[in-house]
Amino acid sequence: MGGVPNKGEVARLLADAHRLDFPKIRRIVRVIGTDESSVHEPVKLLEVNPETSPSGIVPITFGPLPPKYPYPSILIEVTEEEYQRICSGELVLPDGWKHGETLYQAVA
Amino acid sequence: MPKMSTAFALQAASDLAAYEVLSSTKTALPRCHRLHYLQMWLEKLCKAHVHGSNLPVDSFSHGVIAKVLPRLIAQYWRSLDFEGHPKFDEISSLCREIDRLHPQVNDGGRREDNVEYPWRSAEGIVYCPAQFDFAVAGRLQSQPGKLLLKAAALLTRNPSIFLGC
Repeated sequence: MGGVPNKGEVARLLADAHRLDFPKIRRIVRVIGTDESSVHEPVKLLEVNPETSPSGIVPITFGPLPPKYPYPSILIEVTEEEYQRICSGELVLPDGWKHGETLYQAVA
Repeated sequence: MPKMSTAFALQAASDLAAYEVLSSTKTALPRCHRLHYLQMWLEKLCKAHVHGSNLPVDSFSHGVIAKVLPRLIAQYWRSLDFEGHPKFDEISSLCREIDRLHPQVNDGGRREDNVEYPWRSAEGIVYCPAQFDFAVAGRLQSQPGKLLLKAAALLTRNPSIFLGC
């Protein structure tokens, strides 16, 4: 019998679900907070979608959906240009969040 | 005094009521007016959700509908565990068009059509919103358009679905 999935597994499940829902997503990166080991800290994903509005960093918070998604989650959707500005430090993620593992990268 | 997220949710509900009055068959006003209220309603619905997160958010004004609403609808759909799979990309595209109804969301001057102010096209033709045939109005009659409106109305009338999560 499996236990509660860890955050890394849930991040991958969420990334897969989001890619299925929004096939135009080009990249999904996990975002790591300063208290990532806490179960109360949401799983955070940064997603690059050319279809979204270029309106800056707008975190969208969701509650948990157990049993598949037992943690709260936060999604930040940006355009490719906004993503490049985040990488260069011109746009800053909130709360000291940092880039983590790339969970999906579309083939060019 | 209500929290900012609650205040946005209340105003979104009021904008929805105005949108429904303007959409009724009894009104013969140009479509720009109901599209104006549609854009205002959905923008405030999205801002209610974003303010509810209590996260430090960059100042943002317009253009949030495409960023937030398709994800709210997708998450709500996921929570219901329905078998079907809506066309969320089409919903995203529609939301982007609704964002563009605001005069300040013009894709760097490439899309000046909006529901509030007259504009001049690249060819020098002057357009008036009250006499313009906004194609997005027709797209709202499609299946993804109907789902978008139905889900947004549901989320607006039941803000507890997302507020406080």
